[in-house]
Order: sequence, then structure tokens, then C-alpha cells
Amino acid sequence: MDLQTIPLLLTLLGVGVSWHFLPRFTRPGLFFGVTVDREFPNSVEGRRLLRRYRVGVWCSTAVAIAAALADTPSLFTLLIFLVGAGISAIPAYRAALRHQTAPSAVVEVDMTSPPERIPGGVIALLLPFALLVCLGLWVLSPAHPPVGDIVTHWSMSGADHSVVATPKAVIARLARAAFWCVIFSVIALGVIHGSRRVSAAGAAAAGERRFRRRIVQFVLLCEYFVVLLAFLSVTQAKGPIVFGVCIGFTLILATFCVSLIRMGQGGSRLSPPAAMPRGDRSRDEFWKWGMYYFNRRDPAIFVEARRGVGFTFNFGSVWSWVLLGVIIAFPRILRFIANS
Amino acid sequence: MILRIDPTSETAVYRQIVDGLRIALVGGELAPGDALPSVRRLALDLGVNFNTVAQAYRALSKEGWLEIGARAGVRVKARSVPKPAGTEAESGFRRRIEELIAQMQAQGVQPARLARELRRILGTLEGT
Repeated sequence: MDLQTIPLLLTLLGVGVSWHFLPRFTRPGLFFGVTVDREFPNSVEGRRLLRRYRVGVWCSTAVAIAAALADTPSLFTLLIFLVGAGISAIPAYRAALRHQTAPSAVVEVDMTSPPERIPGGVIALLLPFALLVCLGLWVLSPAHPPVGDIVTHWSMSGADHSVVATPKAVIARLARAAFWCVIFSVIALGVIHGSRRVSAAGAAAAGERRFRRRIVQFVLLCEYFVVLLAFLSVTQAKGPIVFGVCIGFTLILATFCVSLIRMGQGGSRLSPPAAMPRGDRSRDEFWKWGMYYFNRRDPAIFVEARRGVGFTFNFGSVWSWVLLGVIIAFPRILRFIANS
Repeated sequence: MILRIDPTSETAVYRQIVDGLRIALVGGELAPGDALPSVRRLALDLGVNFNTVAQAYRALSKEGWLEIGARAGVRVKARSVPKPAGTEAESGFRRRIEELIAQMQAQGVQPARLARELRRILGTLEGT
């Protein structure tokens, strides 16, 4: 086992632990993506379903760890885990369907609530782009001492990967960072302006608002981290500095995750259960396997996930596919341009 | 003001939005100058097509309740009281109430309960 396997093993363990708790990180009245009675997850049958699912998750984690130790490519080990854990969730979903109840059908909207804004406003959203432009101008200015190389990959074992810092390479590196900043900005805007509210009034709505703000802060933090990495890359920061920064960032992300889990999905733990609607006011038939939301009539791009804490795509929206396509295709296009 | 919509109801969502907002406008829950959510925002929260909400807003704008501006968004307008309805409109109004009562009775609502509700509404109307 070499040093590079350790982050992969830690990732697999972390993902295993998160999938272990995933069915509990939902709104009250949802279990394996199905609207059920609030008491059902704690019933004998509910606990039995959960136990079986967890056995499946840990078996998948064990197989994936064994594959990682046998020097299987990291992407493939993650795929092993995802397929195994995903398969173990399907019987639990089917069993939960037998205990399905109707979600709260009535949709409520507060007609006089003020519109929500991005924390920090437009400045917080656009500042990373300004920083990237300034960084580019500073590095490429004649007054700046010539940069020898740009680090493209910091290795835990062995030499870092780098390319010669031609103006084109610098621009390509900054463009890649800018691309990720655009993606994070779109996600932040999508959560605030392109997602549906579940609760309209009272403590439940206030909790939901706080939850959305925290998610957006989380996304903005990622955006600033991308800029920081670009800065470290063009200033040829050494490995230990970068690892220190990455560990610091991971700790901050972990703090955010804990805070989101404490809030509960959609801020559901911030208000008394009686104030919450049953489920998330969306119908079960739009949730494929209780995981993927597909509703062509719903204009929302993002909806609250039914498993775990956070948001997921509405796969029935064309814009979700456009965004997914851009996320997948654009880095490859940039790499192709850089290589050619 | 909370707008409640039941997507599973037989009544079209567009009609529910118009009726719900009109009740709030008539009752004074929404006052002139109040800003309403944009078409996009309301459609997202209700999980319905943008056109459904736009159609509802347009209908209320036609009735003189709302002002739809490109930049200022949707606002409640100070509405001048229209002329009293003619006899033809009054008979149409009576027919609609009778239709609604018949529909409720067909759904199993007891006449005594309907009468109680109508008296309660009458009391509210006389109070204003």
C-alpha cells in the first residue's frame, strides 16, 4: 500500500459512514425516498429494513477497500462502492413502498415574504472572478518576475506535475478555475432562485431559509477555495503548504456538513415536528427508486434531496441536463484546447 | 398572506390561484402597494408551469387588482370600485352560488353545514 492509497481509503470510509446514516438524514415522514408515516422508520419493520440496507453498504465498502488495496484505479473502486450500496438501497425502497402514505397535498406559498438573497450579495458571488482576473494580470504583467512552471497536480508521493508557464498555460489554468467558479455560482443561484420552498410560514419556513443560506455559504466557500488553488498553482506553492491548505479546507467543510446535519434536511430539526408537513410536498411517483426526481411539469432545477442533506437535480428539467452536460464536457474541452 | 393550492383538486391550479388571491385582495390581506412574488418564483414554489401563474396574474390584472411591471414586478393596485353589476350579471352570480352548493351537496356535504358556512360568510360580509 503506497501513500496515495490513504486518501482513497479515508474517502471510502467516509462515504461508507455517510451512506450508513443517509436514510436518517431526511425530512420527517420520508424513508428511503418514500412518504411514510412518521413513526414507521422507528418501527420493527423500519429498523429491519435499515439494518439490511446497512449490511449491504458495509459489504460494498469492504469490497471497495479490498479493491483499493489491490491497486485498482480509484474511480473503479468508488464505482464498486456506488453500485453495491445503490443496489442494497433498492430492496429497502421497494419494501418501504408497501408502507407508503400520501404526502401533504396542499402547497402553501407566503405571498408577502421578501425575496431571498445570496449571502454577501452579488459581490460575494463575483469577487472570485475579479480575483482571478487580478491574479492573471499580476502574473502576466512585465513587472512580475517570470514564473517558471505552473503546478497542475500536487502528488503525495513523488514529484508534482507541472507545465511551463506560458501566457496560454496561465490563462488556461485560470480559465479552468473560472469555469468552476461559474458552476458554483450557478448552483448557489439555483438553490436560492431555482428551488422550491416546502414550508411557507412559521418556524418551519424560517428553518428552511437558514438551511438554504448555509448550503449557499458552503457552495461559496468551495468557489473561493478554487481561486485559492489557482493562486497556489501559479505561484508554485510547495506540496506541504498545499496539503495544509487542503486539510484546513476539509476541516471547514466537515464543520459545515455537521452543521447541516444538525439542522436536518431543509432545516427540519429546527422546528417542532408538528409544524412540518408530511414529506416534502412532492409526489412519490416523481422519485425514481426514491433517489432521482423527474418531473417535466415542475420548473424547479433543484429540489431537496429525499436521501441525505442538500439538493438534487430535477432530471425532468432541460436546464438540469444543460448544467450537467456543461459540468461534464467543459473541463474536457478546456483540457483538449490546452493539449492542442 | 398564505396562498394554498391543492394540485390534486379537480379545480384548475390557475383558478385556485385567482380565487385564493382574490379572497385576500377583497379581504384586505393584500393591500395596495404590496409586492407579490414574481411569476417565476411563484411557479417554482407551487411546482407548476410559469404560464399557469402568468395567466392567473394577467386575469387579476385585467380585473384591476394587480399591476404587472417589467422591472417593479407584480404589485397590488389601488382599485376603484366598479359600477354595480346589472341584473344579468346578478343572475349569473346567483347561478354560480347555486352550482357550487349543488356540487358540495353532491360531494356529501350536509345542507346544515353549508348553511352554517354561508351564515358565517354573510356575517363577515356584513361586518365589512
